[in-house]
Order: sequence, then structure tokens, then C-alpha cells
Amino acid sequence: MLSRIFDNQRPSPVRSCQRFLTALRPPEESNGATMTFHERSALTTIVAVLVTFGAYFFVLIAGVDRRVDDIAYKPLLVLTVIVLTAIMAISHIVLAVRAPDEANHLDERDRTISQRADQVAGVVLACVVLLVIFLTMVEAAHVYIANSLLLGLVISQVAGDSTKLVLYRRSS
Amino acid sequence: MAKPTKVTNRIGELRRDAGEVSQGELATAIGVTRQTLNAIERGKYSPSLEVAFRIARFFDVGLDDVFTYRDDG
Repeated sequence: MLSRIFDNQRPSPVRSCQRFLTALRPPEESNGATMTFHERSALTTIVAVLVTFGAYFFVLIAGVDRRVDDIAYKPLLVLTVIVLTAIMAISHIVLAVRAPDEANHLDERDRTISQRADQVAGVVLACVVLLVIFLTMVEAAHVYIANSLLLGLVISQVAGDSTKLVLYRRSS
Repeated sequence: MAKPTKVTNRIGELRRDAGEVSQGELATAIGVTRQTLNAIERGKYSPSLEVAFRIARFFDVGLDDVFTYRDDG
């Protein structure tokens, strides 16, 4: 009897899902504090990249007292990339469900911000490439060259997405 | 990105005059996100000429009736 009462009060899964998706949709009007899909995407990317590659470099540096040839970074790198890809895919599916209209749409403000962010990321990447060229010239071990390039990609990605966040906030 | 702009606009007023058109409705009609329209309306972002014309055309008014350039010298 009691369980039947509780069952009647419990909303159906479909209805719960509809309510959840409605609540996640951005408001029709606001004072500009809400983020666009692309702004949320940039924030998510920064967090995901920092968490996964932060852990990767932490583990790598923790084992730096070993001989260079013994540093097994390749399996760790593959695992990190798989985890990052999974996090990015899941988080972007959630973001796209929240704002389906914005997910595949770049307006002129998004494009301008994206171009500026790409410029910043490009400059950062160029600096890292110069550093790697120097490492190559002094015949550093492959593990250092590979991981310097990787660190450069991570820093340039974070710099680009951070630029996006700053520009979105300044113009909202 | 936040272009320091001397351009002011009457988009909010025109939306109210047109029967409480929401930011979302206007944004969809002119092909930008609601957040971008909000930024334009608050003077934080200067739209392209194309978007400015689309806004004016939506309200069926001239560009000068929507945007004003304040040249204080």
C-alpha cells in the first residue's frame, strides 16, 4: 500500500528527463552573465586538459630520478589521451544537450574571439617550438624532446582557451 | 575584444515597443546567439554592419534609428 503511494508520486523517467533538459536550457533573457556553448566548451577544455596532463606530468616528474631510458612515458601518454578524449566527448555531449541551438553555430562574436585566441595559442606554440629546436641542437634525449613538444601543445591549448574566456567575459 | 565603442543603441527600447520581443527571438532572427545580442544591446560589443542592418530590418526602421554614434571629440 505504502509502496504504491510512493510509486504514484514518483514521476516517470521520460518526464524527469524532460524536466532536467528544460532546466538546463539557457534563459531567454538575462543580464549577460550566462555563458555561450563555446565559452563553456573553452572552460571545460581548460579543466580537462589541466587535470589529465597535470596528472601525466606529475607522474612523469615523480619518476625523474630513474635513468632517462627507463622512463616509460608512452603507455602513460596513450592512457592520458584516451582519458582526455573520453572526458571531452562526454562533457561536450552534455554541453550540446544544454544548448543544442548553439552547439553547431558560430556567430560573428564567436568567430572573432576564436581568431584572437588562435593567435595567442600560435605565438605560445611558436615559442615552445623554438625551445624544442634548441633541445634538438644540444642532442637532448627523445623523452625530453617529445614531452617538451607535448607540454607546448598543452600550454598553447590552455593559453588559447583562457584567452577565449577573458574575451567572452570582457564582451558580455 | 570588448571594443571600446562610442556607438549607443535603442535595441532594448525597440524590443519593448515591438511587443516585448525577447532577446532570444531577436537573436535567432538575426543569426547570432542571445549572449551576443545581449553584448550588443549593452554596448559591450559592436556588431558588424551586416548584423546592424539585420537588426534595423527586423524592426523595420533605419540604421540611424537603432544605432547612434556619439563623437565627443
